[in-house]
Parts: sequence; C-alpha cells; structure tokens
Amino acid sequence: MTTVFDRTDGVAQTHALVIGVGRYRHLHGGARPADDALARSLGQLGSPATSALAVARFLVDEHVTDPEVPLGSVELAVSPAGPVDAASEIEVGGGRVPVEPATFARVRDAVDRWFSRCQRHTGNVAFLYFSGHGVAREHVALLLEDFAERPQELFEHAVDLEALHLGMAACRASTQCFFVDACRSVPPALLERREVRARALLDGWHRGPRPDAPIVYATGHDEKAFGRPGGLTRYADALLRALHGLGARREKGAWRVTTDQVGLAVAEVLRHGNEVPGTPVQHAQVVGSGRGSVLRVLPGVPGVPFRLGCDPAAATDAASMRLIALRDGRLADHRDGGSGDWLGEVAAGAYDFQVHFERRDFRDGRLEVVAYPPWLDDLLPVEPA
Amino acid sequence: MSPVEIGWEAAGQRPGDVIGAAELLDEHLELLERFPLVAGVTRSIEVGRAGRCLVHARLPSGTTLLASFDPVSDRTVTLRARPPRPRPAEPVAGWAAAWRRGPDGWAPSGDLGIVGSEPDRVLLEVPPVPSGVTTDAVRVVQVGGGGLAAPMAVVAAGSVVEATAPQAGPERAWRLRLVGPDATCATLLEYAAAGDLAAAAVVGDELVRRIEAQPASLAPDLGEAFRVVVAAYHLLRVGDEAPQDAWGERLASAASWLPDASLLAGWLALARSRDEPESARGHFLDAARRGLPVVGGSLRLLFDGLWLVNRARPWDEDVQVALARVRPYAAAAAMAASMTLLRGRRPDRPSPGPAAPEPPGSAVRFFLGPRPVARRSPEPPALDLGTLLRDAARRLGSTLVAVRLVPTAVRQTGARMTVQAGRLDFEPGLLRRLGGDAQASVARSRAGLRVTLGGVEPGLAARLQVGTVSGTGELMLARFEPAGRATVAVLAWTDAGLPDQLVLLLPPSGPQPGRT
Amino acid sequence: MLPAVVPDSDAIQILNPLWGQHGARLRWGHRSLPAAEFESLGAVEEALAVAVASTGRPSSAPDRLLLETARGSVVDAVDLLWTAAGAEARDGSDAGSLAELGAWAAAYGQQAEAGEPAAGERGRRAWLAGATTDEELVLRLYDELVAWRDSRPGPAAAPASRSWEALGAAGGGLLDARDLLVGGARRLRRLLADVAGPRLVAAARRIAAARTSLFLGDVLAYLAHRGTREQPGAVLGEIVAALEVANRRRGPGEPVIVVAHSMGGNIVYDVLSYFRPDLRIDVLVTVGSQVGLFEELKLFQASSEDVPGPAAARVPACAGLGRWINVLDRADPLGYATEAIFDGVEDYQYPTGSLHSHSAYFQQPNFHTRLGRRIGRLP
Repeated sequence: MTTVFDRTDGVAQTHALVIGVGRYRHLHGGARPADDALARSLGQLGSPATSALAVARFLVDEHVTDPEVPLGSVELAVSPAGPVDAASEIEVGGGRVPVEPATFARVRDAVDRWFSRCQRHTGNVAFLYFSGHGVAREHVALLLEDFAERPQELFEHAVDLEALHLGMAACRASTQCFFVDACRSVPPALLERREVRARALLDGWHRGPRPDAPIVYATGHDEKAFGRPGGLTRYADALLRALHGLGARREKGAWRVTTDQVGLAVAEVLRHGNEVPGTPVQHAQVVGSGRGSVLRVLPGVPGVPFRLGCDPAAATDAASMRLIALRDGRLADHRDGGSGDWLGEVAAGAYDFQVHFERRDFRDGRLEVVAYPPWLDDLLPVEPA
Repeated sequence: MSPVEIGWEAAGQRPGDVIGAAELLDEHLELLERFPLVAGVTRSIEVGRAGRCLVHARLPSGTTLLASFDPVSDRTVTLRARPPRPRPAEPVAGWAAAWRRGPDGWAPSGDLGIVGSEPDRVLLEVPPVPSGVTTDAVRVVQVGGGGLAAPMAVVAAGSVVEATAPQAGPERAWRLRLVGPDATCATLLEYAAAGDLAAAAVVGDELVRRIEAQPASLAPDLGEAFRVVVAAYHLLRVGDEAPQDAWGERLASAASWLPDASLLAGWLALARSRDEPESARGHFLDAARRGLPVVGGSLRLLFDGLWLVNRARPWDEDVQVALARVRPYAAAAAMAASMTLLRGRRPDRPSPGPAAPEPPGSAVRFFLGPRPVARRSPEPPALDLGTLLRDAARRLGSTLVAVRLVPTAVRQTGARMTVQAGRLDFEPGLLRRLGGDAQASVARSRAGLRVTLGGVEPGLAARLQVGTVSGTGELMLARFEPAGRATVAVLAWTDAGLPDQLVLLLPPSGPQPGRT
Repeated sequence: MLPAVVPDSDAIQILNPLWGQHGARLRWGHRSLPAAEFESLGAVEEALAVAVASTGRPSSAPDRLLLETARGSVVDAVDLLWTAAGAEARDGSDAGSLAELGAWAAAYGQQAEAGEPAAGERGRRAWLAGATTDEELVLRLYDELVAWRDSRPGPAAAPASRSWEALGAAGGGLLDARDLLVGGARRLRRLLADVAGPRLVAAARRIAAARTSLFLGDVLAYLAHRGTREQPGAVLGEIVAALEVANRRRGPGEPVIVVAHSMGGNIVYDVLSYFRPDLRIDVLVTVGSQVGLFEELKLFQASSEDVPGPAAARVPACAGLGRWINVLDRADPLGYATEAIFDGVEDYQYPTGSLHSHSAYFQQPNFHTRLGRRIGRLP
C-alpha cells in the first residue's frame, strides 16, 4: 500500500497525496523502451523522487502538530530512477517505512483512498504534489512509471491533471491544493493526435459549494520545469520555502500559510532564482481560486530573503550596510564591504536599512524597509558626497 | 482615535481607478485590514489600537508603496513609492499589428495606434468600435520583432496594451500587459495573472461593489460589458456560489459583445445547478460560436466547460464540433497573462512553440532603446570594408571621441518621428580639451549634414574633424572650415533623419602610444 | 557541441572571455543603419539569408533546398540544416539536444563520406531518395540517425555533464532535436518563400552591412583604446587575463588551445606579438579573422615597416606560439588569408558548399569534426 502515514479521524486534517516519478520503464533508458516517438523522446529523471520524498518528509516532520489542519494521512508513491527493483524508504515516527513505486494501478488506488479520507470532513485540506514528466496539450498529462506500456493506448497510464481537479470538486474537502511539478511542453507529436486521453481517475461533478482549489503549476503552458538530477527540482525547493513561511501572512496572532499566498510565494522564489546566472528560467503559474484558506500555521516568525543595495549600483560595493529591527533597535544583520547586492535573510518585520560610506565618496543614508513575505527587494538612493 | 488619511502620489492615474490593493499591518506585521487603492481618493482608516502601523502595497507593475505611521499622532500618511529595479533597455526594433475577424476570417486591420512610449515599452491602442455595432468587439494585437516569438493578445476593442521590450538573457520575450481603458479591470487581471490572489480579491470585491451599486443595464456599452465580465470572473473564482440573478441578466446583456459573458454564464449555471452539466450546454456552445474570449484564463475555462458537457453527453455532436474548434486554441494559449495570449503566426492558425512571423504590411513599427523612435525603413546599403579600414588606419594618429547627439527638433506625423536637428553633448573631459564654451549643433542641409561648432579657438577648430558611420556602412569624415564667425563641417549624409552618434577626431596632444 | 564530440570532455576546461562590453557599442543600437534589416528579417534569419544566398541555390523550390543540397553533399545539407535549427533552440537544454544529435549527424556524415560498405551506401541513398520535401528529409534523417546510433556503441552523449534536467519533453532524449530540425527546415522554407531570389542576395548584403558596422566599431574602439604594454586597455586586459589563467592551469602534457573568431584573432595576435610575448599557446586557431589584413595595414603594435623587406619576406612567428591554423572561407567577406604574410601559419580553406556566414562556423557539426582532424594529434 502506498499509505505511509494514517491518523485519520473525524476532525479537520490535511490529507496528502505525494507522487514522484523518476523511473520510467518504457521511455528512453528504461527497462523496456516503447516503440513510440514520444516515448523515445523522454528519459529517466533524477530529481522527482528526491523532491517527492522531501515534500513527504516535510509533512511528516513538521505538519503533524499543526494546530488548525494537522496532518491526517500521506499517500506516497515514488519511483526512484534506477533499476526496476530500486525502492525508497521514508522515516516516519522513528521507523523506516518502504515506499511503493508510482505505477498507475497504485496511484489510482491511492487517489481513491485519498478522496475518501478527504470526504470525511468539510474542513479537510486535500494536498496533492506530483513530480515527474508532464506533457500538455489542452490539459496536462502527468506520466506515471508504466506510461507507454501499450503504445496503442499511449496515455493509459497517465493522469489528466485538470480533469482530476474538476473531479475533486465533488469532494467535500473545502480546501484543495494541487502542486504540479512537471513540464507543460506541447510536443508536436501530440498535436498530430486526434485525442490525448489521459485518465481522469475521478468522474464526479461538483455539487454544492465549490472548494477553494488553486492549482500551482511549476511553469507556464508550453514551457518546461527543471530539476537537478539527484537533488530537488526548482519548484520543490520553492514550494518547501513557501510552506516554511514565505507564503504566510500574520492573522489572529499567528503566521499562516494560505491558499491565496502560497502560489505567489512559489512564483516569487522562482522569479528571483531565474536571475541567478546559469539557472534555467521557469515561471510558476497559479490558476483557480485562492480564497485564503489556511494550509499551515507557522510555529514562529518566518525568515524573509532580502536583496538590498544602493542606487547608483557603484555605491553598493563601497557601503557598509546594516539592518536594525525597528521594534527593539537590535542589529539584525550587516555587511561591511562586498560585491554586488547584499543578499541574506532576516525575520519578518520592519527594519531601518542604514548605509555608511567609510571613504566618504557618498553620503550616508537610511531607509525604512519591511521584510514582508515573500521577499524584500529595495534600493536606497544615495548622493555623491 | 481619529481616522488617519492614507494617500499617495498618483501621477498619470485617472481619478477613480483602482490601481492596487494595500494592507494595513501593525508593528508585528499582523494584518489588520486590506483595502483598494483608488487614484485621487485618500483612504480613511480607523486604527483602534496604539503602536506603530504600516501600510504596504505591491502594485502589479512591481512598484511597492510603503509608509509607517503612529495612529495616535499622525493624521495624514503619504505612501512612498519604490519602483522595481530598472531593467536595462535593450535596443530592439519591434512591430505591432491589429487583427480583425471579418466574414472571410481574420485579417490585419491596420488601425493599431501607438499612444505612448518609454525607453523599454510602447503603448498600443486598438480603436474602439463605432457605436451601435456589437459584433466586432474582439480583436487581436500581435507584437513581434527582434527575431523572437510574436505573441497575440485577444482584447476587446478600445483596449490599450503595453508591450515591453525583451530583456537580454534567457528571458528574451515580448511581454504584453493590459493597461486600459479600464485600469481597475486591468489591475485585477494583472494581480490574478501574477498569482497575487489576495490582492486580486480586494480589487475584485471593489469592482463588484461598484457594479452592483448600479442597476443592471439592458444595453450596456462595451466598456460596461467588459467590467461585468471581469467582475464575473472574480465572482467565479472566489466561489460565490449563488450570485444574484442580476448577474445572470448582466451577463446575458454583455453576451452580445463578448464571448466571455456566455462562457461565464455557463459556469455560473454549473455552480448553481446540482444537476449534470446539460444546463450550461447552451451557454458554452454560444460562447464557442461567438469567438475568442478575452480575459486571461478564459480559453481554458471554455475548453473545460465543453469538455465537461461532452463527458456528460458523449453523443452530442454540436459539442464535439465546438470542442474540435476550441482545441487548437487551448493547446496554443499561454495562460499566465491578464489577456488571452496565443502563440502562432496568425489568429486563425494558433500553434504552440515559437513562431516569429513576418509582420503584416500594415504593421506599425517602433524602435525601443535608450530613446524610442518610430520610423520607416529606407533602402538597403552597399558595402566597402577596405575603404573603411584604410580610412581608419590613416586617421589613427588622432584621438577618436564619440559624441552623443541630442535631438532638439523632432517632427511627428502620426506614429512616425523624424529628428530634424540636434546639438552635440560634450562630456566634461572633452570640454576640457575644447574649451569650456565649446558647443555644436547639427542640422540637415541640402549638402548633407551640417555641423556648426562654436566657442572653440580657431586654431584648434581647424585641426578637428567630425565623422559618422552612414547607413551604407561608410565612415564619413569632414574637416571644420571657417564660415563667417562659426566653424562648420559638412558630412555627406544622405539618410533620413540624423545619426544618433558622431565621432570627433581630435589632433594628437602629447606623445602617442608607441606603434613600433 | 564539444562535450558531445569529444569524450572525457569533463577533463577539459573551457574559458570564454567576453569583451563585448568594452567594444563598440552602437549606443542607439544600429540606429545609424536603416531599420530595414531588423524589421523585415529577424536577427536569426540574417545568418540564414547569407547562408542560403551563398549556396547559389536561392531559386530552389522553397521546400526542397535541403534535398537538392543533400544530393550534392549530405554533409553540407547537415550543416545548413543545423544552422537553421540552431535558431529554433529556445534554451540550453534545446541547444544541448541539438548538439547531441549534431554530433551523431557529423559522425554519420563522415562515415558516409569515407565510404561505408556497399550496403550502407545503398541504404543511405534509399532513405534520401524517398523524400520529396525538406521536412520529409529531416524526419527520415532523424529516424536514420537514431537507428544508426542504436546499432553501434559510440561516443556517449554526456547528459551527466548537464546539470539541469527538464521534467518533460527534452529529458535526455532527442525528439526535441527532431522538432528543432523540422522547425529549421520550415524556417528555411519560409525564408525562401518570403524572400525570393534577388531579394535574398540583397538581403544578404544588407545584413553584411549591419554586421560590419558593429564590427568596424569594434575595430575602431579596439585600436583607439588598445593602450600600452604598461597600461593595456580594457579589451586587452580581458583577453590577457583569460590567457594567463589558461597558462596557469596548464597541467603536464596538457596543451593550451585558443580558438579565436574574427576580431578575437586580431587581438590574440597583438597580445602574442607585442603585449605579452611571454604567454605560451600551443595551438591557435583563428576563424574568419583579419590578421593578414591588419598586418598589411600595419595595425598591430609590433608591425614593422621593414617587413616585407630585404631582411624578411614574412613576419616571423611569435615566440610563444606553437602551431597556428587560420580557417577561412571564400564566402566570408571578413575572413583573410595569412600564409603569404606570416611564417608558421597554415591557411585552411574550409571546404565549401559555402554554406555559412561569418558567425555560423561554430554551429555546424562538421566544422568541429574537420577542425579536430586538422589539428590532429598534438605534439
């Protein structure tokens, strides 16, 4: 069974379905490559398995004691790249639990269990994360380990994400998050087909109030998503950072990650990462609702990454810079000399950004800034002395 | 505690437009309130507690507005704007074309206008429909150039679209943004496209409130229809499951203008109905028949609506036909935008993947860079590399200084601007060599380009030369000769307009770098 | 393309000094040129227009240029196709796929040229003969290459050296390359259909002008700001720094090979002959450079009016330079010969179907293979 964590009971909980596919039996480099042009063009992946395990570990390690929607269950299916019998494990509650591979049959059963658990309480949060190959035409097809087993019915073992999203509207869980970590490129081979029939898995139609169900795609339509083989995908890294705090607002005394902030946080992390030279460009896209339902309550104050500097840019290198917390006057961070913008991370809050020039080629200056999730990005205009 | 008035500098904004969503935070960054920022209107805030407060807003343009205040002592607060980091303006030649759907299909309409420009962007306006005509409200604006893919934005007539130049590096692409004529709707759509759903909700609620403050009109104009459609998208997204019947009526009235209205009516019917999707069938078929919807994300909604109906009624041929027609558009749409954005070469041939088509003949051309100028294209040049290098070698005893030409007279006809005259911009180092009073002006004359130099000691002026590279790639140089009280050089310039840059050759002063 | 063509390329370090920011900046972006070049032909179509015009076949049916070229030489058709397809590549992983397939195409082409057993020969003609349009040719070529690759062990493409993978179409496979090639064929067809015959040649001249004005600017800027031995200019500084690093990292038995294109070749020669004669380069390859012309104009710092003269008929070789190969193509207006002017240099006429413009040398699979063979075994 793909269930690695189950404490379902009758209260509002988070029920997660986490899938990571790196091993594809019938694609290029697989055990039995299929005789199909599309299948030959796709290969094995080194990052989805690691990423899915990281997301599952986050949930298991840090979301069990959430005060509002604690973790109720995790369905986990991971196919790590490598030989067919390579398997993963995850540490849960002090013991190591084997993780089953993400074949279609297993994922279909996992979806059924996930759905029925989500059904049990309208306050439930349905959490879906998929990482692996994705191809798109009008809808995105998420490819599972045994995709292309029968070239005559190529998409028999692929999941139609948007159809799944539409079908989940019939589920009573009023909050549903779909985190899709896959490419959405439209290969010309797909355009030539009359139909691309990936599996919807859920037939239902929504009845009654529609859930708060955003989809956060890793990339735009007909664009690619990237990962480091053996490491995390760019999106998984951004998602974990968003869940850790960048997607949070403070309301009623606590910082909460909500459905209307989490997508923006992921998008901002990716956007800033795009500016690092050598990083393949990727832009997240948020579709659907996002009404502010709570996904997670943070245990403390989130750290907010910042990028600060001076205008003109030449002044930045000459400057000694400090961040002083406005509330208590504490020095939070400083940099005395460096090259380029000052990058760092500081606890969310209001700060006095102070800039001093030892060599007196510019006039000292200060600026009030707010480290507000997801990012603080500011420039202090300075004048020559 | 008395209320605090929050305001900000609203340069270039029309009073009444919602330009963004702001948050009021306490000193712990606790969210106290969210509110829309309305141009020309200060916001009155009651803060029922002591302690410093913050107002923070991120506008869709990337500008941040921020201010902190003490609710006890401060009565008015002005938000300070922090613009986003400047992007280097890459010089690029672009083109833009408007398309219109006629009885024979899509064709270039040749009526797109440039209504504004900045170094890195240009504002394009689709002319509004003449009054009384409702069938022609949907247009396509296509922008391309620089060898890049040319996205096509589906917009309502009368829209203003901002095209931003491609940046250098891996992000090279034309970016299109809806900015008008309804800035409130544009703000809402831009927030949604960026994923800032919280801010979008604030603006959406305000838009809904404004619409509901008026009775539903039976014959709205296109602007009103567009507002209704955008507000209805917002209602659909925030899941207001039982919008009043008045919205159904509003959408029905708007449907004669925009396919989005039928599409939304279909989805609202689905939201209301607890039956299978047949109830929405008529609306979706109507939308598909009317054409391309304009709001960002709507194409996917249209496809999904038809897909649901098709699944419930697989025998329904009308639905299958409609699906087949919509399918290629859904496959070619770039969704993360405030408008429906298509890829492909023409609106009737959408296809995913990069397509850098030739501009239609009626396309308007523009040039972005440090100073944008829209211009025509003259004749192709010939080439003489040997002459160039020989000339250059002979003159290398001199010092070459590039000098910028600042236009002082520009003639504009329609979308075209030609520079008629200018002055040379001497940097301090050059002024030190020429003398502090040196100045020069440039104008076209019958003989070519006339450069008039003043304030330079005549002995020095006689040893100066000025040059430029012509459109044919030839380096042309001329000496300064006395002409009355001034010193003049004439370059054999035959191209249209003026060059942007000239080269001054200064005689050697002191020892030269050794050559052998 | 290097990683795909050369095994163990991880062991090779590649430095790419860029000095564009110090060179000519037409600060208003070629505004001194009429905008036509940029409006009617995209920057990419430029290279293609010149390439196609120089085949002498612009009157081909728009969708058969490759076919007709291939009938003369498959290798030339491959080079032209890859130049066109290179324009379709959108990012690093696209370029990587294309390069990988290009390496196979080059190897396949070389084998075909070298004369495979009769069966292979017949087989080659067979797949070629069945195609009636360029797109068909591309699809058949792709299938043929994949089948050929699968049937033999060979230089492994090096996906491990790519540090990012894409979670979708492009994941280590070659279908992306096929799509790019089809796109390239379509691009050629559009170019020929939209810009017919004489206009194509005129276009080629226009483009050459645009390129040349920037190039000229580079020349003037370099010559004006070259500086002295004591105070070298910015451009020189960058190049010298890179050469110093290369020298420092030189390990035992590891040669330093410098490949210089166009103006870069002129600058490297200036460095080796005057500014830093102490630097050692084992092999210098100048591609499309004007070193000979510059010496004739006596533009180098070390240029002496006494050469040619009674003492020396040619400029003596630089002390620090091992072997020097100057690659030029008659069709490239910016490439000049050197053998008559310098000692110790070999001119290498690139065997032409004349299918490239000044900047397309490096995109062509066969350029690299041929150059590699020319350099041969290093001492």
